[in-house]
Amino acid sequence: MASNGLKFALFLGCVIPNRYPFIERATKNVFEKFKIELIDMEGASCCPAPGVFRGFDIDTWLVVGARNITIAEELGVDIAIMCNG
Amino acid sequence: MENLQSNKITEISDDFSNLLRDAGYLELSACIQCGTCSGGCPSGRRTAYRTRSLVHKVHLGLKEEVLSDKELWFCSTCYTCLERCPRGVPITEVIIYLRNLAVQEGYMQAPHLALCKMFYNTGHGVPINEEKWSKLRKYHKLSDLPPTTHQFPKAEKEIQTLLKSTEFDKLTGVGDYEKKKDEKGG
Repeated sequence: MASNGLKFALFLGCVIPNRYPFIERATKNVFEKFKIELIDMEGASCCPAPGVFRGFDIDTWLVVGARNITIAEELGVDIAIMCNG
Repeated sequence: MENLQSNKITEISDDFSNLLRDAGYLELSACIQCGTCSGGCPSGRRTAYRTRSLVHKVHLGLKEEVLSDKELWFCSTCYTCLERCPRGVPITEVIIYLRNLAVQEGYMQAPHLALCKMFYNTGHGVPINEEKWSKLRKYHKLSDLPPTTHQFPKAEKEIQTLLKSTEFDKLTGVGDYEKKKDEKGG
């Protein structure tokens, strides 16, 4: 894929890859059209969902969310996100 | 005034609204019970959930009534009430904090527990737990499993380590604590 130099780490979340993969497919198609490279965030987890997991325990929500951010930090690129939590 | 029936007022907790104040939700005491929150609540349009009433009960110190009420979980955290509140009360944040307190007191709904188990075991609240979801991915020319915790068992372990470090497993009764609960017959 020809790239215009722009790169993003793609955060998948849960519902899009596991229930509505057409959104993942469509996103990849759009980014390909714009020649923007998407890098997989290997081992990323649930965001975790603010409506539920933050309701259970705010600290856990922050800790697991921070782990997801460190994955993109190691890749050295900004995150592109499809899900809205 | 249905909340002021004498039989319901027996368990007033003076510390309850102080607890919220100490957690940083000072603005809560600025509530004038105007009802703008209930008026704009999309969840309240469909259910008996009334945001204004919830805040009122917090002020009255009806701790058990607030935390045990299933309606506490009807809020979809859309933030409409927070944005419209003329007194700047961060209502949605307060509801989230109240839910944390409810979980600490053991008031958790069965579907929430199931969600916590999936989160602990797979790193996802909504995991690929049936073959049809992998098939759907393949149909859209994607890998069977996404490059998330699903593809990397090591990442699943990392999540479990983190959940143990915050004692989320103990709080919700998942992982090692799930077994202990079963032994007790709970």
